[in-house]
Amino acid sequence: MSMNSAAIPRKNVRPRRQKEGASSKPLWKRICEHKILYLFMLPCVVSLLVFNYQPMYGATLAFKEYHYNLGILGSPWVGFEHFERFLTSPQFWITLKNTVIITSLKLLICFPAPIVLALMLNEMRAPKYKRFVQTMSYLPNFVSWVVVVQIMTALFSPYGGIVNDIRKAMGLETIFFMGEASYFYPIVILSDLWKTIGWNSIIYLSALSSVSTELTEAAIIDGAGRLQIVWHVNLPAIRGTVGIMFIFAVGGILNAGFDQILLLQQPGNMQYAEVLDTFVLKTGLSQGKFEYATAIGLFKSLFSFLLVIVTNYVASKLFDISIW
Amino acid sequence: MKKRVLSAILCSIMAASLLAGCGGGGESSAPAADGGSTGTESTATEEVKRTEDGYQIFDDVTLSYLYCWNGGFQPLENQYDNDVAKAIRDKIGVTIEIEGVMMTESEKLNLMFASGDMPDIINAPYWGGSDACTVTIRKAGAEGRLIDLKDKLPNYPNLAKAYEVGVSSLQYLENELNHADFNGGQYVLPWQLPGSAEDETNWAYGIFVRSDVAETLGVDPTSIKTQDQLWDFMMQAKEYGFKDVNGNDTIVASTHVNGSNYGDYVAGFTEKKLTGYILDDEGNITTPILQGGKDWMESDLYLWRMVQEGLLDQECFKQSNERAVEKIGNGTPLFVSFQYSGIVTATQQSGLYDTHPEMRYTPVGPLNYKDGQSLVQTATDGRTGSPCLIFPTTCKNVDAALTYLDYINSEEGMMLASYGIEGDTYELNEEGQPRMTQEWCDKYTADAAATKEELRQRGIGYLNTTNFVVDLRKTWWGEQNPFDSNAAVQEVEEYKEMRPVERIKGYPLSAFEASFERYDDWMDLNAQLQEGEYQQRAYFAETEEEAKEILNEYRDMLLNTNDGVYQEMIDYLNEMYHSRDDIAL
Repeated sequence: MSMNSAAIPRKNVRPRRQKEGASSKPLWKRICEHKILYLFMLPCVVSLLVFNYQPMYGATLAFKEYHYNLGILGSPWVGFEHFERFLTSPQFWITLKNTVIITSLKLLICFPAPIVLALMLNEMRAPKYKRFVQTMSYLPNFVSWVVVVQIMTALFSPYGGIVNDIRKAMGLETIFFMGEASYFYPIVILSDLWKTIGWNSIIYLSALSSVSTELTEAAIIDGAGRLQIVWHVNLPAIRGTVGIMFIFAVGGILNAGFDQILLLQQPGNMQYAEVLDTFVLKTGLSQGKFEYATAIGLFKSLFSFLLVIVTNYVASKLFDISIW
Repeated sequence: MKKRVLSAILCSIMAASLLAGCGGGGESSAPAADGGSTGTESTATEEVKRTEDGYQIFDDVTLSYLYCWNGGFQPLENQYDNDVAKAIRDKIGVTIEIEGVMMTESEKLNLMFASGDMPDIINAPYWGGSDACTVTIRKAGAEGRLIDLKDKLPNYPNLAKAYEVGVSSLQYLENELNHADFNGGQYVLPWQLPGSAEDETNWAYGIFVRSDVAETLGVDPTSIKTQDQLWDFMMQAKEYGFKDVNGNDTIVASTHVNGSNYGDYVAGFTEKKLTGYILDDEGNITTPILQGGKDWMESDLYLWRMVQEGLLDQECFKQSNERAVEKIGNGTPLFVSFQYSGIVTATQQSGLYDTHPEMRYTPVGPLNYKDGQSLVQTATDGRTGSPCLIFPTTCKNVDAALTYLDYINSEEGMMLASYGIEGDTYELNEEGQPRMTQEWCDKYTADAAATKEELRQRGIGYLNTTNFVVDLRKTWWGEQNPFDSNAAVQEVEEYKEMRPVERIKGYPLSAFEASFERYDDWMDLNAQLQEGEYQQRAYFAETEEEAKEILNEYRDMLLNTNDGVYQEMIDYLNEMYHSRDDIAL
């Protein structure tokens, strides 16, 4: 079966700027004309400036030696000292490697999983059962990592945990799942999947709900099976959403999931479980070295920003998907 | 038009409220110009009222007090109107309201000092050296966040004793309490200082085993003196297959929260010393890790074998307080290393000894040191680090705070805070010593935890844990805590005799670390490469070779990070060691 791709509405195709009409007037006149609308926008702009841009001056802390009494602006400059200390730290490459591995695994497994779930939910026929499954899949998102890790610790404990009790009943050895290095990555990925898959599928379900029923009906008339409809109609329809979410996810590649990883750290898995955020806590924040922690934060932000630009450029060229 | 005006007003209000919400978040709040002693100013011009015994009387001052110790602190339901608070207020007109924290101490301190949002009094750890809280408090003192007490303390004789040699050790005074960064100021008031050797607290740490295990295996636990004997005892216990109160499998050896106190399982590899420094064959300072060889990792490999053999609780290094208490309360670990009183408390909570008296935990050893001497609790002549009280520059009345503390630390105040009201909760014996009444002793014997809580809600025993600066209770009254003489847990008292406190004379070499030129790099090294983290990683290695590799990796990084600051520190300490003859290792 061949589908006519031209018939599928393109998401995120930027409309060309209209150069006629309104643009002939100066900006301030146009603002005056629509002053009420601009006034409605004002709280959002103020909020953005106050909460997103104003705190950015705090990033200068990365280049200063912070004194409580002098504050951020008054503290003396020290140049790139904190960056140098971080980049020459013996644990820099270990923590960077661990962070990238964990995030890459999450990107590889936890990123597509909500798409698959959304496609499966979209195919469900019984609406009540569908709603029940949806609700159940969203619930773990509201459970904090502290609780999740406590539950896992109780389930997988070698001393009275149900999983090991079953193993013992089967004549098998107990395993300290939470502490053995070889189980660290599976535990991180599976727990993250369990917690986030439902919630993250919402955006794809929403995108799927906008797929034209006419297209689906046309595909059925053309003899397409359900899998073929998913492949040739639904997936292309949410392609733009997937692309944008992917670009954002790449931007967060140095955020391995601070609270999850911190709570899952055990002596036996520390060679894999020390990530940038936990390293910052250990060597920066807990020692009161805000400037050092800020330097690492800034390093992360710049690196992520660069990744977003590159990914966006590649996505724009290859798939015509772009966030700007 | 009306709609336009209305919408314009609404939008303006929304924007204004957004901005208003951000007010007051400036660089830092301004400290009181004179160091927070605003209360003093008012009294300077007015007539100062005093009690008969000389304490200044204030006009109902209530001070906020932060007990900056992560978790665990339960404020009273009524901090203002309990028996003790009322009695103190009647006397000097001051009340304190204590709050606890549920976050890392150093993080909380940093947040407060950076934001300027501080209580009137802060109680926090001040262990000295590169400890995160110590570094933060030191920085706060040097950077104008704390009130200098130097000129004030002489007016408060019960507090001034904290700065006497013998109460605080010489190295604590020189290197921490009068730190060079303080430029001659005194910003820290240490507390929990024993007023004399007799008042030194014996924490009763050790290894304890379930009695039924020792009896069943026919082993006298007090005869265990070496690491090999301990190993054999634990292996026998493992092979026997004991069960806990619920009939579940047991854990051979465990600890309390977050691995506390696993070090006692390898105490037989240690020496009776104050520091980790040793002398090489030529009489120069070195460390076991610098020397390399097998000696420095033998205790780590012993613990590695304990994990491999399934003896040591695998979860113990990261277990919560509740989990530890649950395990001990169920008799799940056959051996526990912790404070004896903590173990007894856990069993009281679960009622373990009532239902299974045979499972009573009893002391093992104590083990001998490497050279055959009996294990003791080592101490210096005066403390080398302690909890402390600090007074932020925003303190609304530092004189009221110091008067309060001075009174609480007098014999009268300490008796009130510890025993309550004479004739009601305690009576004086023939020697003039306070003793809880028989009624309270009976209640305590029946249910110690509930009785303590009942007294605590009346304010009795509430301030002991937070405010006793120089502790002379044992010297004064022959007992450190109420009930000690009449209703103390006998087995704990007996154990304290088995592992007594011993003061080691001399100036600990480690005290010189702070005066090393590259001390900041040294502290940074210790923050980046935490020895305990690598040691614990090694315990979980699959093979002995892998365990050794992890320890060697740590050694290499330690010696090569921060331009060899580790070796430079050793060289500096060696120089100091040979410069005077009163150094203790």
